[in-house]
Amino acid sequence: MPDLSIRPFAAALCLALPSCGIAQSLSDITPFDPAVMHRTARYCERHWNEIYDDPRLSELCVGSFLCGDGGCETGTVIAVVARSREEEMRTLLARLPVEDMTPCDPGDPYERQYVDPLGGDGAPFGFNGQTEKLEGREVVPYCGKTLPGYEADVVVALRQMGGDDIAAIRRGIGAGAMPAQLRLTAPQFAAIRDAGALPLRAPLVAALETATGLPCETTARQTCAVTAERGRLKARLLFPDGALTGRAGHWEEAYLELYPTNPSGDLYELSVDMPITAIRRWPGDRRKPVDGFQSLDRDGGFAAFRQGLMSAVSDALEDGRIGGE
Amino acid sequence: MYQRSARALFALLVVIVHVAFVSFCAVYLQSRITKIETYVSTIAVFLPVFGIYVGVVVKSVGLGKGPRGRKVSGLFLALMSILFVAYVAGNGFVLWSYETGFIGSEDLLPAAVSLVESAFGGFFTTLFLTLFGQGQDAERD
Repeated sequence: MPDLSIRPFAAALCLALPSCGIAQSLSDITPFDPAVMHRTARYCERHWNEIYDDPRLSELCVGSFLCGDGGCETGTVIAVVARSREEEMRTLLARLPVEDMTPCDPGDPYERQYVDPLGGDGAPFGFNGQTEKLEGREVVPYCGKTLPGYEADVVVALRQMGGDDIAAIRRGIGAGAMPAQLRLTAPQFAAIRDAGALPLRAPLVAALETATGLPCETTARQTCAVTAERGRLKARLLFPDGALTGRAGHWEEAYLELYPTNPSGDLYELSVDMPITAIRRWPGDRRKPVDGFQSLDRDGGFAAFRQGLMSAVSDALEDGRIGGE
Repeated sequence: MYQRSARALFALLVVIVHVAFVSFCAVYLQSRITKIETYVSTIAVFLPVFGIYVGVVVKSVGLGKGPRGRKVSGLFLALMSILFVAYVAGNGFVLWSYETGFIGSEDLLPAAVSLVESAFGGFFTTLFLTLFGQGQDAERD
């Protein structure tokens, strides 16, 4: 019984926490230079294809822009630093668009593989050609999250600072593991990234209102909150009676995240994640339910709903208001 | 004779209340439970106690003499009525909790219903059997 009464408080705490943990302000972010970034990315592509041969560039590029068959993961960076320069790196990180960068946690299933990057059977995935220069030295591996779109810049900045004392990479993902994406042009990517995804807010809200047929507002009868936060556009949705996918008699909940990504080279995309899709059978004329939802994975109805939103956003991108000349 | 009719009336009342209640739950929960598995388990935990009442009454009525049994005191009947009310209130509380969100998840419903059913239902059923002479003593009446 006491467990039941704690639920609402725990839920409130979970909602409040992510916003508490953020100390760094957006004004600290290094300015984005599309020209430089475009150039480094292209050089790296060429290096990968063994067309462009410059030892300096190979050091800067390997593993930075091309991580795996599926490209690089959004928002993750790994750096292995010699202990003598750890403090210097932390000082630099404070000025970079990094959300959180701490020594890798052996308890985390993904970070575990980077805890001992020099020992064991060869370098972890993506670190080939990077960690050799650190052999035999005392090192500290750091696992970090950057703001979306700034991964390559952070890696390049770390490599430029560290030279032989830092090995930094983006983390790769396997093929086919990607969420839904829209292609962006480089100027669109830059415009969306630099404005913290805010330019997408109006098109998304308009698309939501068209899809649900209701004004996008949070009331006692529904939730429709679209906020731009830390470079991502987040939408929390809860509608009665099948407004999202047409399940009559059900409340439907969805959580969406839109952010610019740069999975490899000069490929720019808008990622549209929908990590939460849930329904609850409950009469539509009752008070808004807060919990008791059953989550649905890979649901066709929600996929079609997202597809509709994406095509509306895509139309808005095409008319040239975002990142246009 | 009078006592026998009173017992018959009481037994029928209990059964009618139960049939009405379980039917109501089946309809009420149908529009409030997302997973069919949870719906079936929730209704299922109502049924054992429900089955005993109906079985006892139908069997007694089927003997052609109406329910019979030992003489019982007024205190016993009062106690039994109180337990019946508590049992109904317990189930009502579960439904009210679910409607107001105190029971937040439908996954808790089968457990909550079986809590009430096994506590009050078990207690009440024992007394019910005593009242209607399903014990061994009944044969000697």
